[in-house]
Amino acid sequence: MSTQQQHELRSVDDLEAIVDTDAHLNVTYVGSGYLEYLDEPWRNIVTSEESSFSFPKGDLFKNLGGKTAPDRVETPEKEREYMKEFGLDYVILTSIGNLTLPVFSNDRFAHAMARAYNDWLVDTFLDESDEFHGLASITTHQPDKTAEEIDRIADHPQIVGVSLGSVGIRPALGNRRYDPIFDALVDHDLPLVLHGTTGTYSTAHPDIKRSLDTYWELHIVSHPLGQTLQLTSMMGQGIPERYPDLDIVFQEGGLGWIPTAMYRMDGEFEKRRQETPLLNRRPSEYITDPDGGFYFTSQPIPEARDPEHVAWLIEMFNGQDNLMYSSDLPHYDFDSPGEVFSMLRPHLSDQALRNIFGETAIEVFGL
Amino acid sequence: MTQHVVCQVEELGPGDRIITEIEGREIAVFNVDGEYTAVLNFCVHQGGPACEGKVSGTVDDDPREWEFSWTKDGEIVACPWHGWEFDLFTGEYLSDPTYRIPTYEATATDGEIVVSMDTSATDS
Repeated sequence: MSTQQQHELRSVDDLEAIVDTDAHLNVTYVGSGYLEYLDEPWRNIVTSEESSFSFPKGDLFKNLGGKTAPDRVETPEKEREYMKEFGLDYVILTSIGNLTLPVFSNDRFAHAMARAYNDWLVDTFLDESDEFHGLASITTHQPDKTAEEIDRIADHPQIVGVSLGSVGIRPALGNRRYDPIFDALVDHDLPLVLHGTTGTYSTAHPDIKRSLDTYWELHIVSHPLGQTLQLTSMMGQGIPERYPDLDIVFQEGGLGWIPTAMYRMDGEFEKRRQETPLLNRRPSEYITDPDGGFYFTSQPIPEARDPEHVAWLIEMFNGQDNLMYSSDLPHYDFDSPGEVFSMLRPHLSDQALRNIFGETAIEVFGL
Repeated sequence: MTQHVVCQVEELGPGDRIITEIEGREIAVFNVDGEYTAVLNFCVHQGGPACEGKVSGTVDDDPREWEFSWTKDGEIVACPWHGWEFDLFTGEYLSDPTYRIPTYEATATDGEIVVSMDTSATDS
């Protein structure tokens, strides 16, 4: 692989359009506008002053008293500030709090929270301006209800996908009970966008959470593990063969987990065929095939001392065709497009850069 | 060395900070418990507004004690972009002291806060 690339693109400003494929709306607190959209009986319980509701967290001190606290992002004005500051032409808006829905105990409440978020998102952002695109929030407690919600919300022109937290889904997504969800997604031509979480480990994987001391430690394993679990389950249960038209996007796992998962799956595919008879090709072929339906967002870009190593990782899973830039604003480990561009430019072709920063996302999300 | 008056002493009480422009540079001046320090408001990481983050302390890295001990209270700022911690007096990045944000001398003189800047290296 050559490290000397001929370039027309000299800076991130030369790119025609930059798409941020993981732009977070941070409304994870009681008092935020979206909880007002809840149906009863939930609304009066959750929004009252005596509410004891909080999103799953435990003693994970993510914000370090303010050193690493994310901004609240609940208005178009705030989102536009970020878009302007970091040169983002398109943003794919993703919830933070609703990624924890899979660990909620109360099925009815979890589905109500998804609906409320979607209504709030449309009212507050999508109908306010067509410069915003968003992912509809879903949960998996009652798959036929999930399919109903997808049917309800999918036709909005700025809903470009469906967002689901990957931690706490039991059993994992390869299971047949989720078929109504995949059917609805394929019907409406919407990608499934999976995103890991950390605080949910208190509920979903208490042994892991309890084994570690700090958010620092848990955060390192939480996203790669959560995404690997779902990718493995879906691959193992033949989702790419059962739903060849389904696009699946994995956000915020970073990059290192992808070749690791991919090579291990190929190894098992060769040796344990009777456990995955549904697969006709190696898992790596589905993943690296530009039409295979697997996509990945870039944040957090590996903190490699030698940026060329990041390019090696990208080549392993054919990221030039399936990797999409993401920021993860407002989180403390966000990546600005300029920084990612500078890191990758010496090692990737102009077309690969154009794909990663916008063209692939424009295609996947129909922008 | 050039001297720049930033504000009156009363305008910068203990725990306060002021961000101002001196010779084309954005500079933050802090009052850390009666001592003054000035720091360039430009994070060495990715250019974020380092001096606008949370000012607090940090955890001492003495491995002999199991209990964490809080130290340098009020002397550390965490850049709001990625949490990089900087010592307000030395400008050093605590995780890797080979990185440092430029700092400048700040004193209270005749009721005014004065920052001294040596721009001889960049003057033509």
